[in-house]
Amino acid sequence: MKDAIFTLKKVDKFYSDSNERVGIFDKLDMTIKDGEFCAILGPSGSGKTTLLNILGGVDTINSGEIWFRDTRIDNLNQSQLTRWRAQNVGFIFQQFNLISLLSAQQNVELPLLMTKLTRTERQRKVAAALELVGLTDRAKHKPAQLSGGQQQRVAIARALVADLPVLLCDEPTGNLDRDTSNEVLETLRLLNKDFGKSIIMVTHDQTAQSFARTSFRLDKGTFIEEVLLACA
Amino acid sequence: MSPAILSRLIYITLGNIFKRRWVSGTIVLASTLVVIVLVGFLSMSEGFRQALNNTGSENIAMLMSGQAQNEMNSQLTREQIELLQSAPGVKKLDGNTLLSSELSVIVGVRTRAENIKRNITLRGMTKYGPVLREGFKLTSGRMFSPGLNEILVGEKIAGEVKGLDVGNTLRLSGSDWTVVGTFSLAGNLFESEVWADLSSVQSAYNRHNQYQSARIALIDKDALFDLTLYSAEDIRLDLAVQSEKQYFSKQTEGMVNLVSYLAWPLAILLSIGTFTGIYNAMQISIDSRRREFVILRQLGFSRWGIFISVLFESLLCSVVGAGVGIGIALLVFDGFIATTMGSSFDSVSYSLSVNGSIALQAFLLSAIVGFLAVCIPAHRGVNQRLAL
Ligand SMILES: Nc1ncnc2c1ncn2[C@@H]1O[C@H](COP(=O)(O)OP(=O)(O)OP(=O)(O)O)[C@@H](O)[C@H]1O
Ligand SMILES: [Mg+2]
Repeated sequence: MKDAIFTLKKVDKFYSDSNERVGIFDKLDMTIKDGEFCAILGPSGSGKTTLLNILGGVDTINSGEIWFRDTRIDNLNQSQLTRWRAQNVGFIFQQFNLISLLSAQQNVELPLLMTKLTRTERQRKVAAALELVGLTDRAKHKPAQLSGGQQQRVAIARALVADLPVLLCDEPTGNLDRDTSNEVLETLRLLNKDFGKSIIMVTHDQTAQSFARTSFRLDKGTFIEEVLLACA
Repeated sequence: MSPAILSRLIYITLGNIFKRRWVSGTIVLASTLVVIVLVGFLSMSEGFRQALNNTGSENIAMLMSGQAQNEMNSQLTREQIELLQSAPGVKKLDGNTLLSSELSVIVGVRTRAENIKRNITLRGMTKYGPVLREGFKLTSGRMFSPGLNEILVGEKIAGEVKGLDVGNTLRLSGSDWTVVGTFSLAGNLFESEVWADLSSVQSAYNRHNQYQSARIALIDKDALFDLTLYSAEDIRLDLAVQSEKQYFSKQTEGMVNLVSYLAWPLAILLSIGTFTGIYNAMQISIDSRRREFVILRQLGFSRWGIFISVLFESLLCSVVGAGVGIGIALLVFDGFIATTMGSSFDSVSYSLSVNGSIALQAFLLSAIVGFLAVCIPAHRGVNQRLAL
């Protein structure tokens, strides 16, 4: 059995304004294994996006602990968190994952700018990643000139070059038609299988779920059940 | 921050400037306006100051009655004028003291172009009057003759005022005056006068034996002291003695101050408008880029780096605007001839002057406004929630 990549211990999360308190998680315990491809399911408003935000360190919790491997991340300060995030997690949203002013290859190159790599080394890595997601011939295109699925694959290539162990995806195929969805999901599966990336994907889509090996169902904010799916 | 990160952020920034032309254009235009106003006013006061520096001699003494601030409030007696004939340190010509006793009155005339009323100075002077003004040149016609109603017109107003052509006859205060010539004073502020023989002015305006001021040529500028002493020691004199240069600068300093004191408050008022314009434009721009900032920060770009790049974007626009403003101001204002009312005399004309210090002040003002106006929107932009 693999080690855990994320461990949540008795996590409480609520939003409160002046007179109301909206509870999202109440003493939530959860473990996601390293190298997993898991789907997060649940009705709208059940806290799926909130969970991804917490795992990615872009939202805070009210009590409990969040561990990434053997690092506790819920008590890191802003700059530690920024560094941790840049090294460990990539985000893929439903749409708008790219900087519209930059070409596909410039977008993919962004995380590499923070490393000590030279220009040529960066370009080599970018070219390799774009090839892997099948977009070599679109390297110089701006996001507006790419299809939705191609844009998602550019975002995936960006996560790939940064060599991030975790990819957090929020409805990555939500805006795409069936064929394009499949391209994106195949690319995610490739990253999971061949590169050992852990992928945590929120989705409503049946097909998307079938690509995952595990799924978590989030219901009424408190209850989670893990369903082991047959290996796809 | 590494050069690679910085250059990529600047690349994005420049892209934004072109992509959001409306925002960039607002910032450029607002900065241009502030700069034009500030440069306009400062160059006005600078031009005025320069004109003044070229005006007035240190070798000519101006004498008025003790407490008088200007000629209009001054009164000299015949006895005082006669005492001055034998003052020390003064130049002589053909055995006569180079002295001109003078009396000036304000007369209303009408302008040629708009036919509106305007006041000019009619100055009565004795025959050495013109010689006692540096740079005096008879540019057409001849001198006025003693005892006759003849006038000599300053070049600067000859063209502007109705009926001041040589040979013309003009009715002033019930008597007719003939224009016999025009003069120039090397462009100084007092070229806008009309001159006549002292006795003619005295009798036309019923001011027999009345004088306002006396002008005396000094041997050198140190002789002013001797003259001052001479006047102070004789109880019958007790006059205010100053060089022509001192007199002129006193007459105009209020004007210079007014213009330069007006420049900054006005520029600051306009800056507030500019600030608001840039602030709102950047706010809109940054709101529409929320996603961009979130992506960059999730990728590990620092808030500081993004903040700087946004700052750079707005500053670049401000600086371009300031450059355009200074360029326009140079084209339009530099050397432009302006007419302003002086305090004791009537209209004075001078040319505006844009110099490096004025350009720098305007440039800094617009840069500072650009900087301040973008700080809050940029700060808000980079501190947004990173949550999806
Ligand atoms: N910033 C916030 N302030 C207050 N309440 C919030 C905030 N963000 C989310 N919520 C609330 O938290 C709950 C969970 O939101 P979340 O976005 O995680 O749901 P979700 O499962 O992703 O839903 P969907 O499937 O519609 O995307 C919702 O009831 C939402 O209204
Ligand atoms: Mg959601």
